[in-house]
Amino acid sequence: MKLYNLKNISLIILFTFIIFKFFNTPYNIYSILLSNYEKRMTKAYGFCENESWGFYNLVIKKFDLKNKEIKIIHDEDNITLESLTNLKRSDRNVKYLMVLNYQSKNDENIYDSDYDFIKKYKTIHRSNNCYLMVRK
Amino acid sequence: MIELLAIILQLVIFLVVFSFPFQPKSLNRFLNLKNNTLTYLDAHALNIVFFVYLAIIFSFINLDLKVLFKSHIILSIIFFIVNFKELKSNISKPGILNFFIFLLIIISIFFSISLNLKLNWDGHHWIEKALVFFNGLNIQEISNVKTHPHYPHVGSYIWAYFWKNSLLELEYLGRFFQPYFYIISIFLFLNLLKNQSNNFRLLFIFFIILITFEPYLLAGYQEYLIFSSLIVAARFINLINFKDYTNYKIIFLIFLIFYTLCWFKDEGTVYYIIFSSFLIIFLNESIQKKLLFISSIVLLLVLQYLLQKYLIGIYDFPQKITFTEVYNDVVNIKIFITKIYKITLHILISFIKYPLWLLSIFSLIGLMLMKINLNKTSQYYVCCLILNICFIFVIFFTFRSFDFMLKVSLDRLLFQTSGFYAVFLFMFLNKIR
Repeated sequence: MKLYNLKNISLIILFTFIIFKFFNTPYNIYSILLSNYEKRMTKAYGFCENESWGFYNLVIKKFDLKNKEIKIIHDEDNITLESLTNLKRSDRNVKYLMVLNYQSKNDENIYDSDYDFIKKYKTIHRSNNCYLMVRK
Repeated sequence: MIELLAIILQLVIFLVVFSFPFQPKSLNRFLNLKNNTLTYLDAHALNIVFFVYLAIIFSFINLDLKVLFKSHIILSIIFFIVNFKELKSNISKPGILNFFIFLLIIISIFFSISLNLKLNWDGHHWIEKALVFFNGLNIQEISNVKTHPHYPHVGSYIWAYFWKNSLLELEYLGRFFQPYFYIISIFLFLNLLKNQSNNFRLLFIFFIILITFEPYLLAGYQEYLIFSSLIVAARFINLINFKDYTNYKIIFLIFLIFYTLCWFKDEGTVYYIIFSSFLIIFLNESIQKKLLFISSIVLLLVLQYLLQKYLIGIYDFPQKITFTEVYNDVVNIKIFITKIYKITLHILISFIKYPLWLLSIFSLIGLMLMKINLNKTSQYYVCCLILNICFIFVIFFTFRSFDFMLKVSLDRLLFQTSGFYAVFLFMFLNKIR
């Protein structure tokens, strides 16, 4: 009986090690404890790179954009994250415009871009190459 | 810390809500099976299928997800308490070990998703539908989503259901349903391995998880729903006696499991037609009865069409195939051979990517080499396999963006059905034992 229990306990320990190693569980738990949801989302989608979730999160909070209509341009043709951020994306020239990962050369600024409609907007927040603009 | 609690709570919720309504004892009685034929795991898997049907029905009714969940959880808790005695009597030492390993695996996957919470490409499309339900909008709004509005919505509904009813209302918590269903379905394989020690079976289950775990597909894709449903179906096909006696209840149950595929993805409809039709063909029944079965399959398809067309307002398939285009490609021998070669090559690559396919095919070859006359169950699977591969050739042959589709979707299509044919592997292992 004792031998049976010992065998079972050894087996459980062995399985636990294998599973934890395969899924990286202790590290995952530690990372979840260390970085909150927002940090992990920013790490996954970038702040002003890749999909730029960090920028979305920042301006939504700062300018209370939740459920507001917004035109979003991602200059690297990456996927946009309105579904994950409770924004209503519009193709019309609505009040707000978000330009993400704007690609520029030399001393070009955003008003030199090929998007003519940008001239109708003024920047209210900028982080690196990400802009939140509002209609003039 | 609160997020860790939310993750653990999500697991507890799954364990409770999927204990409702079936129990092994009542299920064995209802399906006219011997006692202990179906285990607690089988009942749990069927409860998930039952929940999928609830999701199909309630997605059309537009009931508040929170109200629905409260009713669901209260009913499940009452049911859990009432049946606690039976549950306790089913507990065995190997059972406890299996349950412990199950918990370890599933919670590890949950933590892994929680850390790597990025949605992958298709996930951004499926989430649009999930948001329709999450925001409590009418089901008709599905026809207004930007990407693929015609795709089935039930996977997204389930996502929204658990997302809305999670402790922190975080998107990724809603996605936990898929890995949960996946691990439950893999553990069903325990019931297919006969005459082996529990430790061997556990090791084997872990090995299957090792070769089928694909985090990319758990990031918003729907592939695992089809994969897991097919394994559940395979488990119940294993109970059919094709030679003489037909248990109609089991047959209808399998049809119902297959039918859920139509509500996950478009290709699910094709699997439903292929796998159900062959099931009927292989039954030892009169032509009249077979025709009756065929009619019920068609009826269910018509029902789905009507519901999608008139309640959602959209029913379509991703690509319109023009006969002349396909004809031109077939008669042009150079194009024909190039396309067939490329499809074959990508199928082989996918087999290597998802080695469960290789194991299943080698097991089938092994069974043939052992000069064992394939029984009717094996013949059924072989026919399904042949038609399944033919379907892949035909559908990819007709794709306009042929090379792109080969690269991005053929492997996923093959992954969906890989669990279904894993039955060959178990047949082989049971024979060599």
